[in-house]
Amino acid sequence: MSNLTSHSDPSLCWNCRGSLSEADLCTSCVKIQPIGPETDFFSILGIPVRLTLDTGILTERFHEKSRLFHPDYHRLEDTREQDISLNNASLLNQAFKTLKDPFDRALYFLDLTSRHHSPQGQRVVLPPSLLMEIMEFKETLEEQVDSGQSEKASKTLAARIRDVEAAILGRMESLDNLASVDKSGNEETKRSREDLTRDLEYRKYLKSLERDLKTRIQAVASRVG
Amino acid sequence: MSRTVVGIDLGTTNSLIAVMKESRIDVIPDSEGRRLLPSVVALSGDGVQVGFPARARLNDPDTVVVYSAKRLMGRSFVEISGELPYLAYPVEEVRGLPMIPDRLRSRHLSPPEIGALVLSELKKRAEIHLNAPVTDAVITVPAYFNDAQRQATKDAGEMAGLNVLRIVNEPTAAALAYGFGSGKDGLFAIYDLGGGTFDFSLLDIRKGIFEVRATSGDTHLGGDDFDQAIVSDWLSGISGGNDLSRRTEVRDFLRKEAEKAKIALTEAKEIRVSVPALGFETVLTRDRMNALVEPLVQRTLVPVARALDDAGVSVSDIDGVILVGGATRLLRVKEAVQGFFGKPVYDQVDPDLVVAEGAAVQGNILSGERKDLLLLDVTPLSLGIETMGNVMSPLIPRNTTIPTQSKEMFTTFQDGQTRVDIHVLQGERELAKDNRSLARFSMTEIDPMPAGAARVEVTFMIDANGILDVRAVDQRTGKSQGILVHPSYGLTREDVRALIKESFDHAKEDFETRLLIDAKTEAQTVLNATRRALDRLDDDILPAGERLEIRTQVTALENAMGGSDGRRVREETQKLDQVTRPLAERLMNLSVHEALSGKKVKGPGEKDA
Repeated sequence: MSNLTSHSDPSLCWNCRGSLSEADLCTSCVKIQPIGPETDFFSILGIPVRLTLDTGILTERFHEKSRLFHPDYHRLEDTREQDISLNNASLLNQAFKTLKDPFDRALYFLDLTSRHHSPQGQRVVLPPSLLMEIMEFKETLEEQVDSGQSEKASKTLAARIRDVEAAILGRMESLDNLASVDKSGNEETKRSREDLTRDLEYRKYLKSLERDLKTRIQAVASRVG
Repeated sequence: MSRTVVGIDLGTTNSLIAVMKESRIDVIPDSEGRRLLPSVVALSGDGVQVGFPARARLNDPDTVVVYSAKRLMGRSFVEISGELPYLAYPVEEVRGLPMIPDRLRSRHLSPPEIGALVLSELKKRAEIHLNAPVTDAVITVPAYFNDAQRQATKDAGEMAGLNVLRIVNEPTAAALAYGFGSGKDGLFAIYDLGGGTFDFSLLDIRKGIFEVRATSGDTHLGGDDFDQAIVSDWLSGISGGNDLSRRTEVRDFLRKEAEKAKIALTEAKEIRVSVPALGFETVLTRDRMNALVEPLVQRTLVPVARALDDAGVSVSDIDGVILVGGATRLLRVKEAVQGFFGKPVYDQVDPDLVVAEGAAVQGNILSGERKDLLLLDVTPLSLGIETMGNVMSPLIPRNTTIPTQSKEMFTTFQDGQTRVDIHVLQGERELAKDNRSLARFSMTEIDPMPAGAARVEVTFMIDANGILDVRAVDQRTGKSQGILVHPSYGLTREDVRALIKESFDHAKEDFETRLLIDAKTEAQTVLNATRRALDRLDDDILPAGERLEIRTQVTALENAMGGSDGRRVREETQKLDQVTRPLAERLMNLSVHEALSGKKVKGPGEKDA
């Protein structure tokens, strides 16, 4: 893998040194080309950088590229090609996994398109009032579980998660619309991005609450049983 | 040019080898037409035997008969201690690993070495059948095998002289064997209940791409447990059953009876079982057996639910269920699966052969012969590292499509620190100690500098076999970092290399032995014929000078046969052949002549009338 990063000129084929007309494959010597460390997930899958996308097309692209890169199709080639194949396929799998899930995709998109892009992602802090609300919500649910109303608690939480997810999906669509009319940077875009970031973080809290509640329900059930 | 890549099902009880040629799958039989090879190795004074002859020695008190070695693969001695009561052969702890002592040859054999003996036998079988050397292979493992178990299986292959191109999951292989991908797209469940393990996988099949959505299982649930449940029920009905149950041979005997009864009940409604030695007689009905195995059948549905949850699909999304493994022959299992999924059940391919057949298909893909099919498998367990407070911090969650990688930045926390240790774990538990320790890596050669200044990027790569590879790069220099690997439950790379060399040495030894035996057999045939000729032919056909020359060479060959040099035996045999050739030609001419003139001459091998 180390020799992949030292790849000198990405516009030339690593093997025949011919110039590349497409990124994945050299058309003259038919060798797959290494995906560079800076290549984003959207480019790996060959789709535009957008928040909303057709998962059918995404899956199709993933399968197409898998047929090109997967190590099973390069098993009898030399070490260098096997290395490229392994590295490309693992990046492709990561890219697909991230973009397939709308919420992971939104987080990735926000980070990729932010001015302070970092591979570790952005740190988000929820406003204190929202944090307080979550704490109270949590206590209410836990009391319900402890008093034998597990089903009610689960339903309440599921409804809340559904609501925030619907809001997130709506925000993703409107941000895409804003991007198509204006090239970003204006106040409305900035505000929309902040709202989306906050909702995604809020959802993360609710999802972790869901996991904790499940454990609590199981514990209560086993005490009763 | 494409190469032949064989597919091997290295099973707990039986193993098979298959090959795909011109869209036909062949499970290769031995010279007697048997396709299964018992995964059994016998260590006795006569040598090392594999397969049927080894299994035949199970009750020989002077022979160590090793079976179910797959249960020991890639595991520590502590981990397998629970298996020991079920194994009738000695297992000793050597450097924390389970090893089988072979006192006659003063050595210990590791589970991968036992596996290698079985694999060599299969390799030989394929080479005879194909009349060509076989080196490239695909070997299957339970989907739930962890990194160490996969690596151990790969090691076994290498020790057997195989180039293991791919470790593939058994349930996925089974799906390949069913020839899906040609029009039958959809979401399929693979329910694989073998002798000792249960594997479950969810597979999305679309235009030849087999994408595993989730996999789960239970490493201690299988047909053997069904037998044990029946045995326990019987013992509870015998007076003194409690004492009897502690005697391994009684349990073993009853277990065989239970297995027979279980198989018979797929046809019959009830079966009479009688064991006069124990004064035990009973009738087992199908209903009673179903009731006994029911809790076990229900237990299989737990991992099923987990996989469905992981994949985020419900039962109604599934288009069909593929049954794999001998224990799915049980009618109650089929019923339960059908009842739970309410979808068509695929059980047409022999569940004993289906995995090997699928491995052959995967071999065909790797040989470059077909590009229409592609398997996208997942890692069955989460991979993580131990962090502060002895907790596991996950890097790659379970059911991630492989190959995959995760990059992490590491630094030093003390001034002048030159080494960083990383403990890699596999499992789903919070605390590090509750997960499987895979290996400890030490990054050495870090330049001394203030705490936190070093920046080493470590890449954890899981390849298409589900096997981990770790590489580190110093971010400041861009140079790759030295890494020392200490596998937790396995052989080090050095061990494997030494064992591979040893197995080649043994192979040479084995070759010499076979050469000697073959040469002696041939020499004996020639000697017998020559002696008869010397005894029976007159001087007019065999003059005294020639007779003496032949006698001298007979003695030389007899001397050579007293030794152990096969090549010398062969040389002396050839010399004898040469000195008797003029005689043989004369006899031939004479016999032709006599035949034409209607008379008959006494041949060297004929008795006087």
